[in-house]
Amino acid sequence: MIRRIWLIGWEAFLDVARHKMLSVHLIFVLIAVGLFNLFGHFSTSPTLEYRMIQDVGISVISMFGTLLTLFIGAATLREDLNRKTAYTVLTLPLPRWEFYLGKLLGTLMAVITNIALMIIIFAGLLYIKFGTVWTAFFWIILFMTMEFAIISSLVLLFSLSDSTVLCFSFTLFLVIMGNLVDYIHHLVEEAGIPLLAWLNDAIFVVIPNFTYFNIKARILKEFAISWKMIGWGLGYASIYVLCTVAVGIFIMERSDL
Amino acid sequence: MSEPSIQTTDLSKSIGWWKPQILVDKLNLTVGAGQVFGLLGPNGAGKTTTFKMLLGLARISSGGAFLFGRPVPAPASRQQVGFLPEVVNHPDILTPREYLGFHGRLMEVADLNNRITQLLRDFAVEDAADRPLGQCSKGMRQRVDLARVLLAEARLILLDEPVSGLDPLGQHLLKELILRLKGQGISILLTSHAVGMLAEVCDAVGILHRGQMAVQGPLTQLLAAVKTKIRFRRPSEAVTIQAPTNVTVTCTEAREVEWVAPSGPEVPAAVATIVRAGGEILEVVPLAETLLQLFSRVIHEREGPHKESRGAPHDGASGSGGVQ
Repeated sequence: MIRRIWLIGWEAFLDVARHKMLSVHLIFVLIAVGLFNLFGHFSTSPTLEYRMIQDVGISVISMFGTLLTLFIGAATLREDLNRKTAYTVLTLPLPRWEFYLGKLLGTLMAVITNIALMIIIFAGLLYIKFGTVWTAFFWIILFMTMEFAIISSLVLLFSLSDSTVLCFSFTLFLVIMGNLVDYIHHLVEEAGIPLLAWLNDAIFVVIPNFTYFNIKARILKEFAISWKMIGWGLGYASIYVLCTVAVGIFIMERSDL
Repeated sequence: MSEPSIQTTDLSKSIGWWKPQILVDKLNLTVGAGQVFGLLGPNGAGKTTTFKMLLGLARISSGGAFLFGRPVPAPASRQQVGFLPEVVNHPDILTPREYLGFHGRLMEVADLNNRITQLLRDFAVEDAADRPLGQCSKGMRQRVDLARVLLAEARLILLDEPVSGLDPLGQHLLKELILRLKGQGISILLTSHAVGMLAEVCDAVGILHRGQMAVQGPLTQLLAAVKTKIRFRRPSEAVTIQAPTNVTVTCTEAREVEWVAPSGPEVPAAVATIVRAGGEILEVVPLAETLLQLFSRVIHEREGPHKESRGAPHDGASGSGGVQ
């Protein structure tokens, strides 16, 4: 079972790699980081320059990572079902959930590899320019991995809808909403309508709360990352991914392909 | 008696809950061990849906299906079952060797590398073994997929429109392959519009029409003579011999006349009429139907002659089903 899930995941990862999806986005990141590096020259002090590059660089990585996760996730399962390439595997004597988990694994591997590559390149650029390595990279990788694991599980779930556009749109909507959780909570509190507050609470059980993973601001402001934050983030991400995967498997097991 | 490879009982599929549309309606099908069963039908008859249900790709709405006695859609039912879909979209970047390797590892095929080399040789794609599938011809890719189907020791193979897109040589090779597999005791369920090939390879056929099995049975039985031709010579051109009921006059040339009667008691009665009127019997020949004629007749009977040509089979090959 584990071996088959791994094989499907590895094949999905190789497929992403073969389609040069990683390198295309890496080129984008390189260009972006290069440009922001250039902007750094306009800053008044080396400290400010360093912070500007850090800030913009991490935001670019986060944005490209999110887009890449959406593209990879949609291509991994939805395209396989659209093109019916999945038929040759799904007609083998293996349960559908193994196929689904394999695809999730492949997506995660591709996404994590991509983030790691982007961060290594970014760290390299910073080191070349400032002669120092940023120790917070580990935490950023960890928290971004948690965030992208949730996005991967969502995009795979929506891959079970009939079209790539729907899959992409639904996931993007949840990603945007998930990043606005605090802002929406604040608005609801200000409105002071109990029904709205209840509705808001109910909706945000389903919509992922990405503010748990937004440690970039803390790191950029050199605040400490507590074990509680890490534990809470890991726990939330794990439970959310597990629930999303369970729903995905439930739907897939009952779908006509 | 050995377990049938495929057994369905009232297998049905409908879609939509508001206005349900029945795609397959109470299909009862049995494919015995080592049997080649051809499933015929116009486009939209339910052939591909039947395949999908048997392979667990589509849910069964009611009734049941068993592969080697194991209930569908349990994954175990697909043990030793190979499937060749009508349209095979390969991952274009993979080479045939990589493609077969991936499936072989999933199926835990023993001595995989040698098995792949052997199959690539058998299907004459050895030269393209390391070329991306996207650069291979359609026929070549289809042969690679046939090799995939045979990677594990399949005892049942489902072929959905296998001749579609194959050139005449490819079709000939496919026919030989089917006969070879049949010789090895492998059961095959196939759909095709190439009736000529089906007639050559199948032991039994079924004709699906709007989700229902219109006719099924052993080919020899289905194509048994249903009519008899009686050719005779009249005593003179002035003499007219009245054909009995159910007997049709198909040809009259000078003194020679041709009647066609349903095989059965009508034949001796017609012969007696001719002899009584002083006619001379020249020949009495049973007329067997071809599979194409059988198909046309069945579809005519069920929906009228004007609609019969919709996705109808032909004697040659190729053509696509395009079902669902």
